[in-house]
Amino acid sequence: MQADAILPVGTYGYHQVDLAFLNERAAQFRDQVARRLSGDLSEDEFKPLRLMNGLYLQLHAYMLRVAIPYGVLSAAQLHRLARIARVYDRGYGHFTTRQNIQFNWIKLEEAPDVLAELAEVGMHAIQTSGNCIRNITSDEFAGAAADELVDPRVHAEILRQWSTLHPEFSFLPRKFKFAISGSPHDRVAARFHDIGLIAKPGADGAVGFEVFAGGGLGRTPAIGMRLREWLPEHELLAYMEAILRVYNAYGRRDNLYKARLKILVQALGRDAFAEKVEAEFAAIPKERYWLDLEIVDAIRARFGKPHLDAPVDAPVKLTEHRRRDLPSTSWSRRTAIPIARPATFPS
Amino acid sequence: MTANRLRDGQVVWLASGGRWVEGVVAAEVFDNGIIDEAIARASMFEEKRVVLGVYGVELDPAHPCAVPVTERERIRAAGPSVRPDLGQQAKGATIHAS
Repeated sequence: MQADAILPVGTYGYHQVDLAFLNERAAQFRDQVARRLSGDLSEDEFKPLRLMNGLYLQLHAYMLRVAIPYGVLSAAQLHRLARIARVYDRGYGHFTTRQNIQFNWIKLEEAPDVLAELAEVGMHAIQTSGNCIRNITSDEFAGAAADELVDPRVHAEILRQWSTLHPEFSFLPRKFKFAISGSPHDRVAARFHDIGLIAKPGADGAVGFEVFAGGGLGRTPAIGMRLREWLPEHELLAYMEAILRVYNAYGRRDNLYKARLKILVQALGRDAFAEKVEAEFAAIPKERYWLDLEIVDAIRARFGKPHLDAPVDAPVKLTEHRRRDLPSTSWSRRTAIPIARPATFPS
Repeated sequence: MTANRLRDGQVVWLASGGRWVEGVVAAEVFDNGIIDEAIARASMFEEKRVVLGVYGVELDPAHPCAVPVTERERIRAAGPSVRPDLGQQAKGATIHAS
């Protein structure tokens, strides 16, 4: 992938420094795999390294989980995933509910080649496993939905850059999942994540986020509890850090099945947990977490904008088409949503 | 005795002569009285980086051939229950999850 080329619509266009980082990680993993196969690393030493690169050993074989940030793929990336399935796996992949794809038959000795191929198209498997902040999920209609108050990919990407390789959050009690919706209509299952954020308008017209914590599925399903009705946008990073610090300090590490944030929130109770978060938040020097508008705008500018202009007769044609073709009517009613008016998307 | 092959993660079974094979039907069967010693002996294949995660699988004595007792191990021996075209089951192996 060429950095600074024409930006792909929907995905974040990596800078050269991002692409160099992905290539370095792939090369680093190649060396780690070679050391494992030669016996320089034991399985105990190697396991955390492969997990940091999304490679699990599962029931039938190794499985590689690849992140699809914010649920959007470019055509080149989709082609590359198909190639990986064909060349290195058994001709298929499994798209997950949290915007990843899993390859179920990857060979350990070929995993470095797969990571190198992913890096070429700006993809990776970093933080798709292990006790860290996982791939941050968002609304697949982000950047185009009519009901959107903010483009959640911008906030998700800021959270991604903040959390990638963050030393304080690389050894959490257990995995940690964020979901963020830029619309008041939750399309991200926010209350079933460790932290769920839903954009909401504030009293003064400013946009902020409703904050939920302690949700999740798995063997102990839990609905996230509301910590804040409305958190100002500029306090987002500091408040997220406060939650993670409380989790790092109080989350259980003695029992794998009791280590998720949801267990801590339920054990302490919503109010006691929220009290600890607010105390931590009060102690944080918040101005250090405010981002200059130029930084935010620069991140926003790395997302290519779609053309949302439709022919003036598009609604009539859609109605006619639906009348003629019932299957596509059913499909479009389930999967299509109103898009933002082009005027709200300056080019 | 089962494990995963280090290089590709393939499910393998210890057969006679210290070979690791992909089909449970060819697995060597050990009596309970010597299983701990056999596992300890088989663990040397981990040190040689042939396999990882060696452990013993209990077999159902009601079957004349090697059929694991637990559903998990039957699925593991046969292949993914959601993809019958993959794994040993796709090769016509007779071990199936019930």
